[in-house]
Amino acid sequence: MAPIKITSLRKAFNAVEVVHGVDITVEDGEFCVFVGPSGCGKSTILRMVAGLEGVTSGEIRLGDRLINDLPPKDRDIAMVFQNYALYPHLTVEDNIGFPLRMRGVDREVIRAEVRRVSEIIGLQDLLARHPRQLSGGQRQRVAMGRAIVRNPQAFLFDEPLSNLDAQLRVQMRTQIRELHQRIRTTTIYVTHDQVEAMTMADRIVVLKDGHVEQSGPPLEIYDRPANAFVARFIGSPSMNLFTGALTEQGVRLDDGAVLPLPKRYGATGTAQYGVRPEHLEIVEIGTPGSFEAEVAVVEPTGAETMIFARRNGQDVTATFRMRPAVKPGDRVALKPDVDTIHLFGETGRLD
Amino acid sequence: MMTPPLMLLALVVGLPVLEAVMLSFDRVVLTRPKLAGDFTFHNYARLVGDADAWMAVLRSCLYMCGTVFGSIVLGLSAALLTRRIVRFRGLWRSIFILPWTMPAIVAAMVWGVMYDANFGILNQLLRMLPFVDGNVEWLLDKSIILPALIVVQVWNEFPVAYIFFLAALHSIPDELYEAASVDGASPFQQFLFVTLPQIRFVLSVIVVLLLIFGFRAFPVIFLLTGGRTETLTVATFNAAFRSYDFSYAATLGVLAICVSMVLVLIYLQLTLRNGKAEAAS
Amino acid sequence: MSAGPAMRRSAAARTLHMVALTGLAIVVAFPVYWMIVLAMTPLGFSRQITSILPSDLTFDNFASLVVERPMLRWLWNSTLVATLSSGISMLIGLSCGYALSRLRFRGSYVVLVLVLASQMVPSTSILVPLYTLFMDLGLLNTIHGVVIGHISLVLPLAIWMSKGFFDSLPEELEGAARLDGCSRLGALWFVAIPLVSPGLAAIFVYGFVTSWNDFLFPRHFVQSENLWTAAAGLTSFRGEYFTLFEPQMAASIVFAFPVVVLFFFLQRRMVSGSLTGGVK
Repeated sequence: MAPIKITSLRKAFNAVEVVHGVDITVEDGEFCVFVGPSGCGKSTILRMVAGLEGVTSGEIRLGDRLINDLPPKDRDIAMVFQNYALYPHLTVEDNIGFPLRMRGVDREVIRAEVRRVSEIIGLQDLLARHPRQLSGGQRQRVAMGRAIVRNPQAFLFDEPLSNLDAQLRVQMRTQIRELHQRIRTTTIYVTHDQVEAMTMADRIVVLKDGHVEQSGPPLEIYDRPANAFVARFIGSPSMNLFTGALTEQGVRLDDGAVLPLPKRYGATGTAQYGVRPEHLEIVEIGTPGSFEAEVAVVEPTGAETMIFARRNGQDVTATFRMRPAVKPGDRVALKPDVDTIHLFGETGRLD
Repeated sequence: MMTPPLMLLALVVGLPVLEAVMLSFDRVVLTRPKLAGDFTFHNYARLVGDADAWMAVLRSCLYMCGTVFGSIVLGLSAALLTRRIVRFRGLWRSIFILPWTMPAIVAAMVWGVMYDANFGILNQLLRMLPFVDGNVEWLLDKSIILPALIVVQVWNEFPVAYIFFLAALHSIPDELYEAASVDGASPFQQFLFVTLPQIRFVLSVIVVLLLIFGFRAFPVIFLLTGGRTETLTVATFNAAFRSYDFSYAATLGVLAICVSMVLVLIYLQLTLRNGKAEAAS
Repeated sequence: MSAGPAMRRSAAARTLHMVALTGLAIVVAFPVYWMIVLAMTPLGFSRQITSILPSDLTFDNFASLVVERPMLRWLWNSTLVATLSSGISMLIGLSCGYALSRLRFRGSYVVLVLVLASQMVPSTSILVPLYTLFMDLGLLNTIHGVVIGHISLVLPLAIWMSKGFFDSLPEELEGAARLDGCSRLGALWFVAIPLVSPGLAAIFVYGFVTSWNDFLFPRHFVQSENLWTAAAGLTSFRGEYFTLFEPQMAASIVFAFPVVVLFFFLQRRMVSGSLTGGVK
């Protein structure tokens, strides 16, 4: 096990640069999730760490070793692919044992190791099967078994759950977490699903267009997003953002409503005012610091009720623990909780 | 590690074409069988004025069009007739694929025997009919010979169209026919408005593929006529191995290569465009 | 024509369908049937055939192939030439196909177009330059000259097919193998090749059949009858014994038999794969 240190990493395909000088450090034993929309470069970075893509410039270190130019087989890194990449012509047993076989490990030792691993991931009864005879979740587990069997220095996961159905995805999420807690191997996990990122990560790295937007523990990123992009990307349903002019009293929207601020900001100009759906409350119409909106859809999920409303052509989402008595077509006044709002300028967070 | 195979590829595939081009700009004949290196347009000038060569090109075109048309009609009919067959399905399909498994030489031999003017089965059968002249010179009569050759080629290669059509027909969802019949379409209308649009792409691919096959055709024509009926391929052969003018033969060969390049580009255009459309949808 | 499954077809329509199907099948199958009948008719008797049903069956024509002509020798030559040329083409095709599939380099598309184009070029266009080349190199009248000629016929499609097979393998499989401790070559050997081996078999069969069927190269590169392949020998029949139908047909059957067997052996694959990679 070892930390992974990525310094000024760049990647260009022909003339097009897709990763623009990225610095990321994944601590020893940490479960780090790269999250971002598709095309943000997260998979490319992962593949560079694995050695499946060449590095244009910058450094990747695993522990003390510079691994930029090392062939994948010498990096001591295991990877689980989105489509699992199980060898279709080999049985589960041979799939899991493949990395050991390639290292010339003794046949009996391989058998024993495969047994040990298959018990960890609960596949001991399926060893004789071929991948095509397995369900999606089982294939996923075989892929993990193949990764852990050789005790690598680091694990890489490339969107491993995106081919599974919703229920299984939740289950596997927990299993992968459990596995990590048990073996404590440095892990990089790539996903576009921010829920996965929030629930699994020790630390999240949010990427966009080949840049790191923010990096930190999940709740820190949720509570203090560094910019409007991260604010909108992390959290479900996503944060409401209103664009307006920053004034002494608050943020003045184009229809004249003024949203309250907890303190005065020195800056002036255009700003984005962010408030999470759970930080809105319904108040009487006309209450200072509130704005009006027309309810479009009410979605009770049981534990909470979600209200989708429209204000001046913009969608507003609010969630409530209690069950407000509103119906589609009602006009309501919504008031942000001043202490939890987020304010973003052109360059990022303002406070 | 990839360079050696690619070099070998260039050698095996590129060298003959290069040699053909060099020959065509030279004067290599039986008595002077080496590249002399003197650059001349002589052969191309001769080609431009060679009425026989252009007749051969025209004959190639007729032959291509005839085989394409015949193969498509026969292949599509066979595919429509066997698509919903349940009993002995494998047997029926094997029958319609059988001719393709016959080497072209064998096709030529068998049809040569059947076409024989005196003792061939075709004329024997014709003689049994009233009011019919049972002495057709299938392979000598100038007005019959080309259609007769086309029949052999069609018999030999229509299974290609059959296999493609069968696969295409099977990929049409049954719901489309159910919807059409609920909407009141007759079987013929269903064919016109459901089947045909759904197999249009495959149809265009087959047309180009069969054009290429028809253009390349040699064994059937050569063996059945002894090389008397000249298409471009036969003319190429005759120039080399009857007149022993290798340079002129290579010139005809280069012309043939150019034509097939055009056909291949059309084919690639077709298949790649569709590939992209599928990837996008 | 294409009655939908939702519709019940009338008895008349069903009868019409069966009549059309049977009629077409008879017409299509007749030449093959006739070849078999004639091959088993005593020499000369096919001139006075009175019925299309066989009578008086004999195997003499097959025996005469071996006794009066070097048919066995030719078949052996065919087997040798076809095995060598398709085997070599398969190996070269495998490596070129892999390179074209996995390595993106400038002009790889052009290479691909040229490969396909050279497959579609008429073999007469290749025959002539190869003839003069082989004349210079002293390869005329040798078996290996024929083998090389056939490689140039088979190789383009071998490459095209093998590229298609490698394209259909997810690249992650080799990525996984390389992380699991293989070099690029190791990944090819342990993972990619086992998975494309059915495809390789198809390439081999295609090459074998192409080489087996070709008479142009052996007939015109080789003068001595001893070195002819069966295809070359077969075509000489038609020239020499124009009206001796029976031995011609017997020879045709012997010649076509292995090809037909191979073909039906592969039929399933061809039907399912014809839309993706299919060219003859």
